Amino acid sequence: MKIINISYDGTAGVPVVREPASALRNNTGTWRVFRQVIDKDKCVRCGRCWVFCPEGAIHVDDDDIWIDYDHCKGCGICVTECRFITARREE
Amino acid sequence: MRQMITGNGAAAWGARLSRAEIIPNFPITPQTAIIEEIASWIAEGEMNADFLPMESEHSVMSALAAASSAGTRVFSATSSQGLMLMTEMMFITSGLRLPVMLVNVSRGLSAPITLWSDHNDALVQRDSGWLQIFCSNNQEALDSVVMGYRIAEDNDVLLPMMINLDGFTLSTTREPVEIPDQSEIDDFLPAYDPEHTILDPKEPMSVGCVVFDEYMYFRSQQRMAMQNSKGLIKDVCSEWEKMTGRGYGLVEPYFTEDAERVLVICGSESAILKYTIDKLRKDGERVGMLRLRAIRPFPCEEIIDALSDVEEIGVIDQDVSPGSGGIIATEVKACLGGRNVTSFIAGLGGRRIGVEKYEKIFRRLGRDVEEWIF
Repeated sequence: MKIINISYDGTAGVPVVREPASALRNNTGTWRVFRQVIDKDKCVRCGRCWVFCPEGAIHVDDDDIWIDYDHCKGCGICVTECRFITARREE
Repeated sequence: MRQMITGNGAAAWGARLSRAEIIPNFPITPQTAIIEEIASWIAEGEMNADFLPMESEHSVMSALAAASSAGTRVFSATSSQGLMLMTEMMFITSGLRLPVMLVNVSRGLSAPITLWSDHNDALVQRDSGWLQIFCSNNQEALDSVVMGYRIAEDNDVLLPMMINLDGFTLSTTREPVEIPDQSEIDDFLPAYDPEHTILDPKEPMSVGCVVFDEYMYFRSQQRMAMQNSKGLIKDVCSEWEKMTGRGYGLVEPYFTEDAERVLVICGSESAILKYTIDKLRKDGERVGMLRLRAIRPFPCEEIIDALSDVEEIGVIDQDVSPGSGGIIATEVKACLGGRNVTSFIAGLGGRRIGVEKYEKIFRRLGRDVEEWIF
């Protein structure tokens, strides 16, 4: 039987990603129902939320701590771990 | 070199001659002798490979997939329940397009428990995207493993390959087998040098990613790879025939040209069927056989060609899909579009078929029924 409407792409058609960090382009933040918000006035930048975030969506440097909302799926683990992070319904 | 070896021994020789590098394994009857033979060769330094004893068949298939995706040639063997435990990873292996080689020594599925040959274990994996070849003798088992690597590793195919060997009737029976020279095989089968998945720190890649909407695209690529394999199997078989004098193909016709009645069969039971046909032909009966060597890809065109002038067609299934019928019969009927095909279920769990039953089957063709031959 003849197969129509598909062609064979050889090794190009194998499900392998060759580009490092390509997941950055996948905005999984769109899956979020609750938005986690850090209370910056009370935060001491201890980094506990950064340790527990399963997505690596929390970033810390010498001066600041912030959530990358393009990749935060809103799991809420950081809310459980830190009293200064609260979950609000997405608007 | 000609030796009296078992089907298991022949399959092990296939792996050894193909220079398989990683052999993860878990024992199960009637396959274990393949792995034992390979283990002793590795221990004696006669085979240069890593032997990995795993904790289950699921782990075996995981290790096969991992080692293959790192760019090594892999081999393992299993049977029946072991193959069932591999199922989840079977789809992953074919989906990642890894040319893994697995010998399945067919054995009926539990329950109730049996040890003898039956094709249901292999046919459960029919839709898993694996190439499947059914052998009819020990020589074919060795030849199929070596040829299998050439087919599976081709860039137009890149699919895992399962070689089915009937439990006990082949696995434990000694037959004279011609073992080719290593140098001959090295010329025929070059070292595995993949482009699509390799382990190389200079060229990092992520294997087994999430795709969502593109899933259908990758399934279409598997479908096309399977379609490509048809032509390649024929080419590799004819190259093998030039080298060794032993010819194979997608199907093996036996007196189909002038036959009025033909039985379609697969596996080692075809040997006794051939003997029966020789006997009946001496009495002037125009009977023949079509053995399906490849089940995936299914040789639809070859079946149509071979059976175009045949009056009465029967299919012998050593398997059954309760609720549908003989699995091979169902597929043969789909190819032949409305032609009358009599379906026989026989030899389940290794139950003897034998000459008398074949003669009876030949007398009972031409009816649109499913008949069980006990």
